[in-house]
Amino acid sequence: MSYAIKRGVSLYSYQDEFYTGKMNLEDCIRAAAEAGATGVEFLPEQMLNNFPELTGDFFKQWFEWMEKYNVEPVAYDAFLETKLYGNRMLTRSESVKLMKRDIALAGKLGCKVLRTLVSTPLEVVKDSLGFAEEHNVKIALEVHAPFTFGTPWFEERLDFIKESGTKWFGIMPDLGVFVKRMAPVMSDFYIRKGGTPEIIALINENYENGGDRKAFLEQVKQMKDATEMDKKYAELATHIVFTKPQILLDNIPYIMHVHGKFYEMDESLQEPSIPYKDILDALKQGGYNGYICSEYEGNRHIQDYMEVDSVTQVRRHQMMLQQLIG
Amino acid sequence: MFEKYLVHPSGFRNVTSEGQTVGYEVQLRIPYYRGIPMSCVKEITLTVDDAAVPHESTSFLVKGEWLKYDELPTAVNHRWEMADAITVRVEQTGGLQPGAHKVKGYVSLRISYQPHPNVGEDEKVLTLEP
Repeated sequence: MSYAIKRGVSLYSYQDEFYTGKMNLEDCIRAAAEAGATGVEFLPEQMLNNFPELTGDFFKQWFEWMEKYNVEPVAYDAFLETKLYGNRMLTRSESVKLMKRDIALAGKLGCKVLRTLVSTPLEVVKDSLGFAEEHNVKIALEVHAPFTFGTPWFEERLDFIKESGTKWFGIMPDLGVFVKRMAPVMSDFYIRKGGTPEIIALINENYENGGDRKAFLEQVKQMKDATEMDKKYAELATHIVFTKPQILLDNIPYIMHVHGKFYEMDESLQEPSIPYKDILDALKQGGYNGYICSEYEGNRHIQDYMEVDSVTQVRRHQMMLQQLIG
Repeated sequence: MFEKYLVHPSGFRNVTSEGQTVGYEVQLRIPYYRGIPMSCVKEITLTVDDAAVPHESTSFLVKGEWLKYDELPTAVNHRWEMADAITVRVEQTGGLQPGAHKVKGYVSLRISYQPHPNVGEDEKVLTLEP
């Protein structure tokens, strides 16, 4: 089947440099373009001061950057602050109002896709679909660990998408649901904080072999040499998700966008924990025609002891994607 | 995440008013990957030289306006930005003695999409700026 997979970068990838002031928003857009991306995705709540009050000058600036660096806006990562108040959740109508605010902003920024989170109530999405259509913005549900395909949460939403036939609500898999091996940056972090290399290795082995991780956590708790960090790492392993990448094939018609999550790219352009080749094969076989955006998330596991270089990480990830897309 | 930046190395100073030292200030960075409204702050606690600072003596400068600790739960329009420090002012007659002090910050944030809060803690030895 023919496919046309486009490469983008989520500016989330550069959060470390953004936080420390080494890069501003324009620097992030430039870095994405220089890495070979044709599209950018971002988190307005991360990178826009005075969100959600954006000025006309900002929108003008945004599109000037898009033109200058020859990239297009792809996706707007929304949050939906349902716990804005400490004493109650937002009501349905309040949540819909927030959702519409984000849809309108996404539209004004030229983003055709709005990422919504696992926690967004389905009713809120349903009440926003007409507005999404008016603004030409699709609402894409991020399928993100610890949730994944095939869970009751997912099936309820997919059933709605299929039964309603809506074109304005779909899914956005985060490739963090395809973690085949525990990420070395995570193991190393736990070892630095007091984990036992031998026990961490056993936990990794059990994960990779598809062993029962909850049972293994109990086993680790019983080990007389296990440290607190060993136990925490064994618990972390119970929250990491491996779904078979072939699941993507069954869901191609509903995939509006892909978050190319990665934790580390080594010099040989390999991601040690996520089977990118299998994933891209499935997307190609299914004839996927959308964007896959690099989303680097290794920074938080190394920032305690070394300088983060998100620019190099993203560049390598884009090179790998280019090779795999072919 | 980002918790090693929580206690900001600069801006630690005594505050004077009408010739009297009435307290001191510390700058804090958010231990999280995006900005959030101050109403989503569950707790901010400072510990200076191993003594916890009472919440009722703290105020916060966010987006150019001061909020007292017990006003934070309703501060839905004041965002603690990812890239900006907020100032914490502690009322304490006489302020702090010149020199180095152990300053610890603890921040707990209510994250809408997670069942548990996002927590960050950081301790640095800071020298009081003139």
